[in-house]
Amino acid sequence: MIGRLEPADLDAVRTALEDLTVSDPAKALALIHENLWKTAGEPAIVFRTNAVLSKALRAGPSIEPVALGVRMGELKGGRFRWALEGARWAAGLAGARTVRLDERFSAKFLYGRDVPAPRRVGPPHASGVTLYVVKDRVGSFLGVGRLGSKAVPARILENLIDLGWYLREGG
Amino acid sequence: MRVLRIPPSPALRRWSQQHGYNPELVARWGAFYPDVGKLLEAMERPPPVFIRLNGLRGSPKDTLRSLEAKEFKLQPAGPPGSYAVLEQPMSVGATEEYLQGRYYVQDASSTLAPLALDPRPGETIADLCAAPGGKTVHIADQTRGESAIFAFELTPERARSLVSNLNRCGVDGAIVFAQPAQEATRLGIEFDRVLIDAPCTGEGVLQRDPSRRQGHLGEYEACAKAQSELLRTAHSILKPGGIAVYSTCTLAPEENELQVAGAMEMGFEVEALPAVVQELRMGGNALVPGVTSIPEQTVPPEVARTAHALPHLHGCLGFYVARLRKVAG
Repeated sequence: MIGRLEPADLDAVRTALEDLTVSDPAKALALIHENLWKTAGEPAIVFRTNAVLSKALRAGPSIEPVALGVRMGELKGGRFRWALEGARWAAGLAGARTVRLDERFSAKFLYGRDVPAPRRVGPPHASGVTLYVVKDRVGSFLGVGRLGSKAVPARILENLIDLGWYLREGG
Repeated sequence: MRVLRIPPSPALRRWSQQHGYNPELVARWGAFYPDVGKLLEAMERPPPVFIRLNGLRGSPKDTLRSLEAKEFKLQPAGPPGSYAVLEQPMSVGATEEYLQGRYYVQDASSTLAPLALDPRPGETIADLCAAPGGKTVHIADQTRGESAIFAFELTPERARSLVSNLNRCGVDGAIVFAQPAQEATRLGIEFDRVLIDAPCTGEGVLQRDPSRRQGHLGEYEACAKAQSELLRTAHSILKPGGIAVYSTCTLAPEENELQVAGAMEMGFEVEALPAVVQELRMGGNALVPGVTSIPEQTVPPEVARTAHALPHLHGCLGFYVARLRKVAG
C-alpha cells in the first residue's frame, strides 16, 4: 500500500539532493515532504503529489493505485535514486550541479546515448563519481548523467536517464 | 436497449460495399445526419493532426515559438490551446518539446470534454476512463495543477501509458488506478466533478481506425450497457449538485443521446454547455446540437443541449459531449 515517508527515507532523499550540490536541501525538502508518498517493500517507489491530492488522500487511498503524482525516484538499501521527474524537480533548485549540451549532443542524449562531457563541468564529487543534471543549451531539462564511473571512459558523460525514455518505454 | 435498424437502400448498399463499410451503419447515419454524403467524404480523408499546448510545462507562447522555429506550421483549431498541425518537418510526437511535456498530441474535439467539465482549482475530480491521459492532463492544466484527479483505467497496459503521459506533462495532482471505474465507489469520496469519456463503438474515429467501418449492430448494445453502468457510478460518487460530463467518439444515438436520456432517469439534469463550448467555431461552424428526433424513441428536449463535433463540419474527428448535473436530494 501507499504510505508516508519515514524520517530515514527523507534523510536518503536529502543525501541525494546533497549529491547534486543543491544549495539548501533541508529547505527544498521541507517544501514538499508532506506531499511525498512511497510504495511498500523494497525498492520503494517515491511519488510527489500536489497539496490538494495529499489532502484528499489523508492517510492513504482505500484501494491500491498504480501511481500517484509524479515519480521522484526509488528507495533501496537506504539510498535514494532519482527518477526522471524527481531529477527534473531537483534541476530547478538553486545550486544543482548541471551540464549543458549543445544541440547535437542534446539530441544524442535524448536517444539514450552517452556523450562527451563539456569542458566546464564544475567540481567533481568527493567519491570521484559525480552526478549531473543535464540540460540543453537554453536550459531545458534533458535528464541525468554521471562522470567518473568505471562503466565508461573518462570525459564521457554516462546517460543514466533522459526524457527520451517517454518515447522509448513510456508507452 | 433496442438498437435502431434502418434498412439500407440498394444504392447505399453498393456504395458501402465499394468503400468497405457495413451498409447497416451507413444507413443509420443517413437517418440522423441529413448531409451524410459529406460526412462519408470526410471519413475517407486522412485524419487531421492536432496538438494542445500544456500550460503546466511552461508558457504556451514559448512552445509555439519553439515549434515554429523548427518549421512546424500550426493553425489555431478553435478550442483554446488547440492547434492543427499543417506541416511537420519531423514527427510531432518526437520533438524535444513533446518529451518535455509542453504539448499533447490530441484531436481538437477531445478538448471539448474538459472544456465542458470546466473544473476549478481545489476540486476533487474523477476521470473514469482516463487512458491515454490527454483529457486528464487538460483538466490538471485547467486547474493550474491545483486539483485532485482520481483516474481510472481498466487495462494495465493503458494505465501504464496514462502514468507516463501524466509524468511527462507534469501532472502531480492525479492518482491512477488500474481498476474498473466502479471501484471508485469504494474510495468514500464525494467528487465535485466526474468525467466519463466512455468506451464506445468509435464511429467518429473511422478516419484513424478504418477497421471500425465493418462494425456490427450488436456492438452498440454491449457498449450502451457499459456506458449506462459508468453513468450510474458517476451518479453514486458525485456530491449533490456535482457536475458530470459524458462524452464519446461515436455517432450512435444509443451511446449518446439515449444514454443522456437514461441519465436523466437516474437523477441527472442536462445542463447547457459552458459558453466556451457553445461559442466555439471549428472549421467555421458551431457544434451540432444533440439529436432529439430518433425513430421509435422519445428523447427529452433538454438533450438538444448536448453537442456533436462532426468530421465534415468541424474538420476534426467525431465527438459527442453532454454536461449533466446531479440533482440535489
